[in-house]
Amino acid sequence: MRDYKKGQCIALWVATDVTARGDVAPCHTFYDLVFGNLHSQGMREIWNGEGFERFRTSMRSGLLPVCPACCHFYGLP
Amino acid sequence: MSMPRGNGGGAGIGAFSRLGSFWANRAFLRHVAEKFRLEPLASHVARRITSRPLFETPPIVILQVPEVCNLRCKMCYEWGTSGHRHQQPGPGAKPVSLAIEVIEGLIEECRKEKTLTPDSCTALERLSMYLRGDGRK
Repeated sequence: MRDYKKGQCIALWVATDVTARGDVAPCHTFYDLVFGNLHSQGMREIWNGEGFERFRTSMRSGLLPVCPACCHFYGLP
Repeated sequence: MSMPRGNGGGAGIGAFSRLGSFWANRAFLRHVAEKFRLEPLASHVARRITSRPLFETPPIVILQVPEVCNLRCKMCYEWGTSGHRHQQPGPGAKPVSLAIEVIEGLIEECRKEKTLTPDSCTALERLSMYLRGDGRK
């Protein structure tokens, strides 16, 4: 079978993770990469923030080595 | 009296193993993927989502309620044997939990943009009331 090659993960456009400390992480494999904290900011501000957008832009061009080991990568179209 | 073994003839274990190999047949899977055009459909949806204007608030919010996992799956990069949280929380330490105020703030914020359906809002509000002790009467 021709391998199904996904070149992009759409999780960054539809989902986000909130850690127990209130940090908003773009991806659950990178809880140490956070773009804000809900104790001091709103979700809308973080979701539309510069850091999140920059990460989305960088992920348009490809994937990270950990991406194929993630359940969101296969669970989302 | 011994029972016949192997794949020779008739129903039984041999038939099941043949069925298994049939389903695992790569040619068959290729046929299904091509017939139903699964791959083009998935990439079409992905393109549509990434090219449309961004949602005001995320449609899916995943909450890590307690900062702990009871399992230690080998393959887990977080809590597994080689994960960076493998030893956490330490003996006697109480894990960090997500504050109820944060969950309530999320519900309020996402409700405005109708990220959550009305039903899920109600369910989360009930959960929030229960956690606060208001809903235990």
